[in-house]
Amino acid sequence: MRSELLKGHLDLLLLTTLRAQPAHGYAVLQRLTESSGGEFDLPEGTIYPALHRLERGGLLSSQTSVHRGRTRRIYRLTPAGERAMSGKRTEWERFAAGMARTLDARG
Amino acid sequence: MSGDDPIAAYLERVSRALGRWHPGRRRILAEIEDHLREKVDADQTAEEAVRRFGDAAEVAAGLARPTAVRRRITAGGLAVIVAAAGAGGVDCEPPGRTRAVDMSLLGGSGLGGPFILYGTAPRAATELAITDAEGRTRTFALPRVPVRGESSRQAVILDLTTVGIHSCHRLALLAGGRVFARQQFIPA
Repeated sequence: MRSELLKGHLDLLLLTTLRAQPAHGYAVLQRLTESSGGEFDLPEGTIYPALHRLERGGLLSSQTSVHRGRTRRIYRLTPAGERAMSGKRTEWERFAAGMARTLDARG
Repeated sequence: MSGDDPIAAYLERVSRALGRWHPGRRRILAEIEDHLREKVDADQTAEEAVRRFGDAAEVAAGLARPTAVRRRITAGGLAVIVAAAGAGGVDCEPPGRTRAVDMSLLGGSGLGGPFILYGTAPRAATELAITDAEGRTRTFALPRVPVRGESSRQAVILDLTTVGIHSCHRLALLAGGRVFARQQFIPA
């Protein structure tokens, strides 16, 4: 899927992906690719600005660990992130339903 | 020095693009390095890992922190703060009386994008009107969020990019359709 299309929904995708389990950026990306059946193939560098922004907004928190001698930052959903995800999901479902109705109506 | 290591060379490029004084530089570089080296651990070549990560300058631009909380403007008993993001953000430079920004108004959450935020006596304001350089005005209802540690105040945070605004020329606060505070901006 075109990355421009995905960017508008990236926050919801990241929050949803992290709801299941805390993860570092690379693992988030892998999960996104897997859960979408390979449809969501973002330029990898694009998820970090989003993760950082969501963290600054209080929707994610992070902590570091050491993995193979490297510093690894693990992100997790905060309660505010949980609420935001829920709201964004509702918004998306309404939008998707509206799109589907419109496309069906036009045959 | 990066030598023949494409990942080290890439990190140098990102580092240069971020700039020496970027507050999150070390964290960002560590995070990117972990990502790239993990891909190499998973049998991808370093060159391919770097290629798939994206252009260093574009990655750095995406990770640029808001350039500044530009100014605090006192207008009609209101304190209006305009925060400008980096590339692609709202870019306004208010003229006139300015003071240093009271960061406590940000509630400790930091800045994740271009915001307009106001405090001190905002309860009367119900709408915010933004006029861009082409003279188009859009009006937004003001959502309220409590300001941490400032229980007597409320603040409004509005990420203008989410409503498709990337420049503003004039800003007005309204109550009941009446403008009671206005601020003109000169694009920086």
